[in-house]
Amino acid sequence: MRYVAPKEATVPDRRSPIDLLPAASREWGRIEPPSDQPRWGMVVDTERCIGCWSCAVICKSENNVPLGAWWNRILTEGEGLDLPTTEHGSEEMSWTPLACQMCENPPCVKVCPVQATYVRDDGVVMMDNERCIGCRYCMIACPYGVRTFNWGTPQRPNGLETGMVAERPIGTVEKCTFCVHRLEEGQVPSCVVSCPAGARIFGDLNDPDSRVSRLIRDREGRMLLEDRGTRPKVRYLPARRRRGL
Amino acid sequence: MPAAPDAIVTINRRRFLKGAAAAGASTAAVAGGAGLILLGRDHPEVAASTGVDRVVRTTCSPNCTGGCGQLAFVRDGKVVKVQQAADYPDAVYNPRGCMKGISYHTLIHGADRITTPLVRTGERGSGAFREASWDEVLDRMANEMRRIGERWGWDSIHVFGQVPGSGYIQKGANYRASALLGMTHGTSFDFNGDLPMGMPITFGVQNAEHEAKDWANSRFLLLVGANPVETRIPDVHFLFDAVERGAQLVVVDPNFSGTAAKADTWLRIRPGTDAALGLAMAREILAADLADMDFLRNFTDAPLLVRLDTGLRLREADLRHDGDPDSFAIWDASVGRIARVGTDRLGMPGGTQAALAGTFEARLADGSTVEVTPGFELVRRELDSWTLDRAAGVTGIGAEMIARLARAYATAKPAAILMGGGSNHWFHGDLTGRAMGLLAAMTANIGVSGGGFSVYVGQYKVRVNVGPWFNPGGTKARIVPSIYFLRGRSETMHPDVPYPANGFHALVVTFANMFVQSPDLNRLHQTLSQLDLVVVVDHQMTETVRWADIVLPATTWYEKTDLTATPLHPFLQLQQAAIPPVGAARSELWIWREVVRRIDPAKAAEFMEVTEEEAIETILAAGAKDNGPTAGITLDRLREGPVRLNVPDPDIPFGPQVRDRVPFPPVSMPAAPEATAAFLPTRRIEFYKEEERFRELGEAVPTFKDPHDDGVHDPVTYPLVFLTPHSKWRIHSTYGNSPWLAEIHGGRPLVLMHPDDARDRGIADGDEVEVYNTRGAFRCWAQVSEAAGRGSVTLPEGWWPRDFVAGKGVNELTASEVNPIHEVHFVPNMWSPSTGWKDCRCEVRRPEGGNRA
Repeated sequence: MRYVAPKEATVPDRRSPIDLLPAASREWGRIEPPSDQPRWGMVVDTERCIGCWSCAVICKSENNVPLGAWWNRILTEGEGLDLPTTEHGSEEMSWTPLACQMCENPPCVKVCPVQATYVRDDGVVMMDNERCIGCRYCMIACPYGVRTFNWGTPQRPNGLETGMVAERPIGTVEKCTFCVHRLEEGQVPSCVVSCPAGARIFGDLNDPDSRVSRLIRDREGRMLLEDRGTRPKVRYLPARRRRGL
Repeated sequence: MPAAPDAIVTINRRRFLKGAAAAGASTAAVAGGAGLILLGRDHPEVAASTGVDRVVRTTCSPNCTGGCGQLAFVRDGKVVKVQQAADYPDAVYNPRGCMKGISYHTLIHGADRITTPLVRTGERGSGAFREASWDEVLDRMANEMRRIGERWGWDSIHVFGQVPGSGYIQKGANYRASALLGMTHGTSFDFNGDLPMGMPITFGVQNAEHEAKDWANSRFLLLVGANPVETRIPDVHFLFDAVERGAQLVVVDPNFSGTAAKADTWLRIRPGTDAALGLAMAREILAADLADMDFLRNFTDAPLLVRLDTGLRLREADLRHDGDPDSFAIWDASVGRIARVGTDRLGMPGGTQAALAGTFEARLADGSTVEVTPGFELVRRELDSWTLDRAAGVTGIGAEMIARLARAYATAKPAAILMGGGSNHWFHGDLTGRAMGLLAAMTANIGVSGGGFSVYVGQYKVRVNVGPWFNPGGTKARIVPSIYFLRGRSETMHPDVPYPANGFHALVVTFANMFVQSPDLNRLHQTLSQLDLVVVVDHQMTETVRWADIVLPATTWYEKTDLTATPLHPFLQLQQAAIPPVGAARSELWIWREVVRRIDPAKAAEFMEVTEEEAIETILAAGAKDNGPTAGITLDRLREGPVRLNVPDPDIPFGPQVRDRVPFPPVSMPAAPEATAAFLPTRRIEFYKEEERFRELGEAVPTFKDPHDDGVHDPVTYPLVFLTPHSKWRIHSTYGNSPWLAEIHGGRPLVLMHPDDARDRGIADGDEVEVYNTRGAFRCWAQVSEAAGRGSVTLPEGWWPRDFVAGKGVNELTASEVNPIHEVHFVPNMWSPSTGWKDCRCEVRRPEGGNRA
């Protein structure tokens, strides 16, 4: 596997896209004031999720993810993309957006032979693509299937490089980072900004009064594959009970 | 490894804070050496965002009604990210935007982008072009136009462009140039089938909807033929806001849609029968004594007497020789005689008790007597025939369910009806609108927050005074409904339509993919074959571009300046250039300036030497007068972000009518008030239409008629209804070539059919199939699912022809017949023929040699 160093350049005039945001836009994306020791988590409200893939598309754009790869996808709970199931006698359908679950007990970290995947103090499970040797043990260990592998020359739409982070070296594993490059500047992940349905909420799980903590408490935020003991920091709020006429 | 542009930078946040030049933050960590076990803080520092050159606030504005504020992040002259601005001062509107808008940069810089003028070198439609200079194509275009204009008349040159509401300046340039040169300009809101003819017929307005945030104030949301989860993505959360506050959500749709998945109750209806549902609900509401009869008396024509001898309304002039021909009459049951009702104010004359039922005798001025009856009596007679069982038989919804729906709708206050294209896009879509309008009026849900009957299709709405920009020097473009361009004049065409004496000889298409997205495409191609000149202005290599003689490369809205608004929210917004035009692309205003200069330099000097900013200032100033919609709005404020128009909050229609009893109809811009007032002689909500054609056709009161295409394609030979709704993945054909979205949806047109319908035809999921009727045929692939109802198949419109098996798409099959009711009056885009896309039958088969799944 060929090691490719990240591209670096110096363009003095360039500024942080966060600094350049209009004031109102920056305010909208601001992280709710965290505790002294934040542990970042996310809530996905499946009642509100409409399966539009805006979160997935902005992720692809923000992170310069190549064609064929998605760090964030939306699963239809049904018979295929946007098709219902009739298993229970009537049509039913819902959506589950799926990206790295930011586990408290991440199997990917355990199996990585070179410690290229690790947990930050704020709980974000990260990749160090310069250490990654492309063995893909982590992809096998992850029960959520949210890691992707850079097989070869990344293809992009008509060659357009997008986004706000550097591309990753060929032959390494990549995945959702909770947009740590944005967290560093006090902004929520891009998928949270771009969800038109208000289905994604980001915040500090260590703060019992944060919006995410309250939602998880009040609406029984669930873990995906809880029985695996991975203890994700992404939680899913169940849909409401329907009322008949 | 592709060469990464120099633009890719890794920047350390602290360096950012210091304002110093960027350098890789991670190199130090790597230098720590492989094999080292890294823990906690010893891990590499995470790089902050790579830098950009600028961030520009603009507005996403395809023909979707979103009108979503977006930020363009620019690096090296390219847009490298588009993300919602989320800067609406009314925070409930944030963030506004969808997966399509935020992927637009892949089209700006995409493989189909047109970057230079082109001249046709092969047969029309062959796609063979050579590159040319602007001077060459402009000279050629101007010369051809002059030749055609002098030979056949300038009105034989037709300009077709979509919905001006999504870009007043650049689309206005089309109207301005048409006015200056005497060309005819087409229509779009009606041609798109989005003009809900039930609105002008009943309420005297082009359309009138509640701003989207008002959905959240409703206690009961009845969605008919509307699928906001897929087609109103920026606004759909307002439904959930209402539900969280306890509202009930009922969805009526032939298919199990994304919105059906979110509903408390989903009712599968037989396509095209929504009016029957509405009529039976109205009957049930009356029977249960849940109707607000005083609302009907005060605000509608219900109490106004109708002469049974002529079918016309009884007027004061009938009763007295010196009587007013524009005053009407009621039967005052409290004293048992006729009372006069004027049109200057809504309500009833003081002390009267207007009868809504019964037959009475009126003595006319000439001494004769005639039988008269309140208009509502005639409505009620029609409703009486719409028993629950009859409606159940027509709609496929159970009688008991219809009754429960009617009672739930009538008792929840306020209750809103949201209607979409699924119900409107029928030859008789006006009847559905009239039935739904009746429900809203019977339950007094008009003019109240959280209520209403709103039809959301089409970014049609002109919310500002565009007159001084569209109509230079007092001249006006001659507007010919596009349906007459497509199929020639009809026998019943209104005499005011300025159809060109010598027919059409040239076509300029801008902001449109006309040869894919028009109905009845084979007819359009007949018209095309008679044209001497076809010019297409576009930025993507669409099928329509392939049929052009001359192709002019347009700018996207990330490369030019414009002013936009939408029906869904009342914020006025700018489009501001984030990058210079790609290649040789130019704005529409620039193009028309150059064309007019070459044809009539004097007019160009007087009227076309104007910048976008000057045009915006003109519009803002014109609309600020008399505390108008743009009062207090300046270009500088708009540069900062969205500015709410000077309209009530929440912006809901008919407030002045219901609150202050101001007569209907409110003004529909840009029409003159008297033009639309002619739709409602009574100046009230009208359920009884006295114009002769309504009576001839049996549509004087709201009723139901079978779909028109049932009479064209007999249901035995063509047993399937062919539905072509809006797609979640496209705005019509825009985004049809999006590489990211294609990865999600698979990039193949699939026709959705019920498992039983598929089995009857030996079709399996994934099979190649042919869909056909007498108008045309196309091939795609089958998708078999119980999401479809039996008896109808569905394929969302807007796919690019190249994605089908044989290069032909859904509009080979759709119809273009004109409903004569839509020709009773003529105000372009307001009372004008509305098309019926979904009023279409077909059959599906496996073609010989077609691939099996």
